[in-house]
Amino acid sequence: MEREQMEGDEEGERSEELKEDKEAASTTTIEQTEGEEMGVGEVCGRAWWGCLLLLTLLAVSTRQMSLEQPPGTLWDEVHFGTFTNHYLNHSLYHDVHPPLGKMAVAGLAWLAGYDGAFEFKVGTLYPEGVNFVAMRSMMALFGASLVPLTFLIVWEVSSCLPAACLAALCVLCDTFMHRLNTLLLLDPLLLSALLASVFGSFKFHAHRHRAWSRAWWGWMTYTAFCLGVVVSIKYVGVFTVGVVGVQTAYHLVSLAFNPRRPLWVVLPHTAVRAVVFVSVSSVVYLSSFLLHFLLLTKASVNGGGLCHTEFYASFEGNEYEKATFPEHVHYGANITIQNSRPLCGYLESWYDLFPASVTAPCQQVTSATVRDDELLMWTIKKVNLTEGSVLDGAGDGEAVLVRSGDHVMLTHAATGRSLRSHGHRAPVTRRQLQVCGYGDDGVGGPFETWQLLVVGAPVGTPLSAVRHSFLLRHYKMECYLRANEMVKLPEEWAFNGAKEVTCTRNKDETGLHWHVNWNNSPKLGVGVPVRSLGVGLWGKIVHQHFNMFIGNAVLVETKDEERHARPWMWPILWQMQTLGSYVVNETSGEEHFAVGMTNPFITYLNLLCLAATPLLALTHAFYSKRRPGQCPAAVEDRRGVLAACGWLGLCWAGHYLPFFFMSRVLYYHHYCPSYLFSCMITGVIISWACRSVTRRWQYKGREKVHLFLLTACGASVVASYVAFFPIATYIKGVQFEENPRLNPYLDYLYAGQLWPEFGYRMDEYVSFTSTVIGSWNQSNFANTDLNATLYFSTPLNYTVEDRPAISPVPASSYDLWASRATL
Amino acid sequence: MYVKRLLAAFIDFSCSYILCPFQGDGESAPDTPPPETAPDSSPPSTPTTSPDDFPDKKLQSSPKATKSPQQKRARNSAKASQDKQPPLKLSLHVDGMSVTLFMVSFFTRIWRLDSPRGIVFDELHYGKYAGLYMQNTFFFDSQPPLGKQLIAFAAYLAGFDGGFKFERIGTPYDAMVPVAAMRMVPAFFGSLMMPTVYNLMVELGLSHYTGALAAFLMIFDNALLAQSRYILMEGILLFFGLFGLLCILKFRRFYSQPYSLPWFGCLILGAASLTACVCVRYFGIFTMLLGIGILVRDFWEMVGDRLLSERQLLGHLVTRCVIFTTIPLALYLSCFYVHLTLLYKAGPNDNIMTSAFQASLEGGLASIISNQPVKVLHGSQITLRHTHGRTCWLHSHDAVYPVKYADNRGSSHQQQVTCYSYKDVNNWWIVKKPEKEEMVVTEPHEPIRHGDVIQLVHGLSSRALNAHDVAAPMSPHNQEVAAYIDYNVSMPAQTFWRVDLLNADTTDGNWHAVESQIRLIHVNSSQALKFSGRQLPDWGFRQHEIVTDKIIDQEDTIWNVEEHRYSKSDDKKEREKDLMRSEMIPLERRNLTYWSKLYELQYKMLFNNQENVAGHMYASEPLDWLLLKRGVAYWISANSNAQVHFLGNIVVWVSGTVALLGYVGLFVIYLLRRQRSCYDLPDSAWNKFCTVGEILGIGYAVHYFPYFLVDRTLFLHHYMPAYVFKICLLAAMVEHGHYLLSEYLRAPRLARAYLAAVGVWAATVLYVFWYFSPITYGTRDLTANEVMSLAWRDTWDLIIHKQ
Repeated sequence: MEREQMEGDEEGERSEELKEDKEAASTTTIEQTEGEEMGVGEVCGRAWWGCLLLLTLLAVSTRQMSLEQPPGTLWDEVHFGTFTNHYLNHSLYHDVHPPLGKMAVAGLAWLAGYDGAFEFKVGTLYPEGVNFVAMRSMMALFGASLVPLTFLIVWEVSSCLPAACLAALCVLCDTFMHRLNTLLLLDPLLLSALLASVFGSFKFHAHRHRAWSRAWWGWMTYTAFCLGVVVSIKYVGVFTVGVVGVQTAYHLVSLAFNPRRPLWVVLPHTAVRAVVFVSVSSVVYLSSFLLHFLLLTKASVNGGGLCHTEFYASFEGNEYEKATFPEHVHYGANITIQNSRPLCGYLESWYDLFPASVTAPCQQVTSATVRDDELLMWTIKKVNLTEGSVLDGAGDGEAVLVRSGDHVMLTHAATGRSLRSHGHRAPVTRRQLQVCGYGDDGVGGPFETWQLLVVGAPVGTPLSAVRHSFLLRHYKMECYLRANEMVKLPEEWAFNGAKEVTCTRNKDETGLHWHVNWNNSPKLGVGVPVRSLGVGLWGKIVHQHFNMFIGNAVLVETKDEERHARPWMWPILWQMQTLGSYVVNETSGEEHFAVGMTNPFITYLNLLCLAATPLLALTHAFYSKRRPGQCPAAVEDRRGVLAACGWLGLCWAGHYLPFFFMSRVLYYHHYCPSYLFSCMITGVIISWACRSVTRRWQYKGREKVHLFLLTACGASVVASYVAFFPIATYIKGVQFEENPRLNPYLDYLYAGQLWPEFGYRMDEYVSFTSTVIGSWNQSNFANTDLNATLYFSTPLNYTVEDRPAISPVPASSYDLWASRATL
Repeated sequence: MYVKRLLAAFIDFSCSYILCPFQGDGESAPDTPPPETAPDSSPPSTPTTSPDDFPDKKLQSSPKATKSPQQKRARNSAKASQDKQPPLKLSLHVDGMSVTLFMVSFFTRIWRLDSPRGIVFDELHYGKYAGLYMQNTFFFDSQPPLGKQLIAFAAYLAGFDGGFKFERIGTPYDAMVPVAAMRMVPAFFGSLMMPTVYNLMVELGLSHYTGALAAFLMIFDNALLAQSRYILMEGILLFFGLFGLLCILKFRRFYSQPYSLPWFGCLILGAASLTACVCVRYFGIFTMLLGIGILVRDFWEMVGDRLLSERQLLGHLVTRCVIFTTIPLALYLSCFYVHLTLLYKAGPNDNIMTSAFQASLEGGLASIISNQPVKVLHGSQITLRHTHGRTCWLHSHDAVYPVKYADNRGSSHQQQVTCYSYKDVNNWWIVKKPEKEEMVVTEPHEPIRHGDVIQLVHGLSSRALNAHDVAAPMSPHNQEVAAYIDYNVSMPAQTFWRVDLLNADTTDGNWHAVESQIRLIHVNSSQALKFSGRQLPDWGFRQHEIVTDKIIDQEDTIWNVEEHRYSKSDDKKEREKDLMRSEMIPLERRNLTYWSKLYELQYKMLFNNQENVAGHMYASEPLDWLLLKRGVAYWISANSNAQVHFLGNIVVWVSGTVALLGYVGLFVIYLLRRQRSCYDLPDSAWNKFCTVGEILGIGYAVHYFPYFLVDRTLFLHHYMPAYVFKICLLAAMVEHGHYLLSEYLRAPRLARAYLAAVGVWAATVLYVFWYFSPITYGTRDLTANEVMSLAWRDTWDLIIHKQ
């Protein structure tokens, strides 16, 4: 191993200047790089500790600057502030991310003495009592931890002090890392937990030759713990789990391929890893949810339509708190029915008809998440198929319980129409059948008859309110009642927020399960308190997962007015993200803008190094194949650098490429984890370049040249930070001018500004990765002839125009019931 | 066994008729087993691998063979003996196996080719396109045209005039539609695929019987049959892809004679065939990448060869790069050249293209604008079209901006100006010079030139186009554009616009209808009139927003005049006289260069994905394909249960998936054991095993896994390219199983039993093929019970008419 030998006179850090730090970095290169597996404790050069401490100190101090700017809510602080309020007031909320990060933010706010009384709204100034600087400064501590973590990771993979210092310096001097990590957001927590777990996994694999030692166990548990934390902050943590998984798999495979060890040793290794990783991280994950529900005990106002009744009824302060109703349902009872899938809501109807231009003009049946009892009450009646009669359960007769397998008729209490389906197309989902209300004063026939099937219970089981989910199978059309949380009906003719209810023949569709949400069964007496029908802590966690995942799927809908970023724009800094602005001078209209934009110098440097890595790999492969006689030290060095870049590149790709295949709304800050790894690659590649340039230096003073190169690189990074410092804090400027007086450098470095519309247009055309719901409805609508004509119930020559008029079936013509369709 | 050998010798007249056109060196390339298996591996005791023992087998050349001096000598002596041959010797070799496979396959495909005589599934599209080719009518499709052209060519030869309207699936064909001729194209290519597969397998070092087995499984697979029997693209796509790969593999064996005729021939033919595959459907790019991958890998092997100097290496690299760029480019461009040359009439999807493109088509926009004057003057009535991106015209109507928007910002309450996507009388604007009052064209003409300042007056409401410092409704960073209403408040009119011609040189600085692309620069604020891309809410009737933007140099600020006429005074005679005097656009279509048409077409094809039919009843997921979960209903007779349902041969399908898993499992086991120096397979067999995985396994992966990342509706037929590789792998695994039994276990009886089992299995394949053939051919009426008996899985949605 040939490394640069530094003169002894340069040692340690000599001043607090940053550039000095670089020199300090290179002074001690030699000491740590002797030997592969040398731990920190053995190296322990003063310079190593000096660099780490200095960088940490700088990180902490820079991140504490200008925290009071802006003095109001900025960007997503609005969301996380609101969540904080929920935690401090113990009220339930709906969100698509797991709770740990938000709980931590709330905890920090609580430490800062915040009482949860400030209503976070876009663009409002913080009042006197809210110590937002303290909250932000605590977040900034997490943000500052990225710098030492970067240092440690790069040290772990490359064992090269200049590389570690350069990488940490890049992270330190990045404007977006500064801006983002000094706000009341999830990101500082997420990023530091993410780097901590990656560090843990590198550390763990560095101990692979000391398997079963105490440190080995320690690092494995630590990594698993951190992974649990990352995943419980945000689900992007799954990418980190993937990266660590690939790393683990690689080492297991190399263990299996090692001819010196028997094959069976793979088994205990695999088993131990699987057990520790799964158990520790799921304990962390589950306990974050446990804590979440221990804290949140009150229900939010009118949120019952968004989640299952079982779930909602188990919170305090809603309409179920003191209510009681019988557990079973008898015929003639008035009930409300809710879909068991979150966000689908209650089954409702009202006098309005479906427009005749769309489908058969009968009374609208939709689903809605807002509770309005008048629209929601349904009377359940029994249909006796053999006698051809309907038992409406009214009067004083004995109570007959609703049982699984019964044929029932559901009459809307307010309008007297019965729930019907027939051979007409649903208004939006044209491939499914329409569901509507039909018949006067509760009369109905075979098309109003449904079979009620309780899920997971034998035929004959009495239906329990809330607890039992059931399917409603149409007697004639043999289809199932379905609600779809993705399809909102057009506002031209439907109620605002009403979603489509259809009847589908496909039993595998989502949203087929319904439950009785409220039960007025007077003949059965008082019954049980509804809260006792609610679920316990574990049930809440299970339900919460359904709520989150289905909520996340709904987010796919792209907002047209939002100009969001696509992944390809991120590494080339195509767009910047405007976080918010505050007017500071009313007369001149001058404003302070906070922007989300990475340091352009570092960004383009990263891009260069990312491109250089595969080139270096190719060169290395070519040389080792054709020119074996090369200087072994150089070859060895290159191999080490490539291995380090390979692992870091895996981390980069693992946190970046999956975004290409996500169709949800994306923002620039989703690139942050990858950006950090990209900075690490930059550190490794730049320090290698400096080293290999000096290696060819024939004259004396070789070490000085090396030192000079490293210092120059470090200094230019720092200089760019100084130059772009406004981006990290705020930019002064006036909007709506011909030449906006933003930072003058921006125009040249922010590539997207030259063609700002292009990004938008690409988004409009590139629909490979995004499905816009509106457009697929359109294409469904337009493509009437593609497939549905083949389906057996619809005539082959069916067109939209010659739709037959709806033919009413009188309740008395039961002969229709006999000729039941057989397949 | 003896009979078999005799048979093989009989049919194997040896050597190529279609697949190896370069027979200059006297080596019987196609049927010699490839290098790895040659010296020691072919077990003489088994009929599957042995029967090709021909005298000229020793004469083969191969990359490995050249390395060993003995073989080199053998080759030299072969050359010497070749020299001694009489100078004028003609020899004809016919590969009997290939011919047989082709004939059998062709027969299965053309049997009752013209029934069902109705539109089967996507024949709807491809038939329609063929008809449009016949009528020279332009159409837009987001896939490249080669396959459609081949079908159109067959239709042309059969005398089709394109007069049939392809309306919906199931519509019966007229007598004049040459269904059989059109279906002949995929049938022919689909049958040609079988000998290609056979030779490909042989080229991979597998035995002839294995190759024939693979082809057999493909011939009797219902899915492949259906795809290559009706007017669909898969048959053509697969043939070109596989043939290209075959050429690339053949190319390997000319390693030792670089720059020879066959060397070039293989490379060029491979490049051409793979490009043709891409030209049929863009998905073929994956086949092409596979081919290039093989080349790159071979080149990398060559890099390790120290006998070659670095200069020679560079030469090889450059040659390959040149061939693999020029040929694909040339082919791709020329098939588009044919496309654009043939389609010169206006048609149904012109609207998607720009005005200039439309004007280059005969009869569409060209006929509308053919009588209109060219020069835009003071007093011209024009419609202004947004040139790039979304098709819409500058529009205004009798409605004003709401006083307050949803986000509490205020507006000017002036008349709305929008961009409207349909032709409408409200799209007309009158060009007016500020200093003149009368809005009629006067004598002498006052042309508008580059840099002139004008006003634009809305035709029906007579309000002028205005912009001012009020935030636009949807894009608050831009200025609002309105038609000015004088409310007599302190908000003066700012209605002056400067005309910036982008292509002023071509028109001598005059503003011409259609061809001039212009920007309208608002004089007071120096901002450009722009289509923002956002949609207005209900109060704006969901039309698109128009703003001005300070960033002038962008595509959305470009407009052009589409329709144009001169305003005249009320006097009708005067108007006619003026029209006579005005310059006229010549009646023939305007010429747009091939390159600009191609550029526009490409751009729209790549970024205008209109094929998405979400929520299709017969759509399936990639994971469903592995075990054939769902088919696709292709056609049903209107009055009986005769139908075509796209389903594969379930036996082949499932065995293919099992073989795939088996390969992966065996590979891992072998690899682990080799790491520990347990060499179960001799090197030659191991190399063969690896080659199979490298080409067929990776080929399968490359054609299958991309679908997991695609966010669009998928059907079973998207699996076909991957499926072909899976069948090949299946055949290879059958051979490997036999090898293990006879060589590794040395159990000849077991091996014979295994062969018998394979025979039974093949018979089952045949039986299942026959059993499902009614719904593949769709020629036979079925009763409901018969249909139900075919639905072996409850997820197969076969269709029964309800009585």
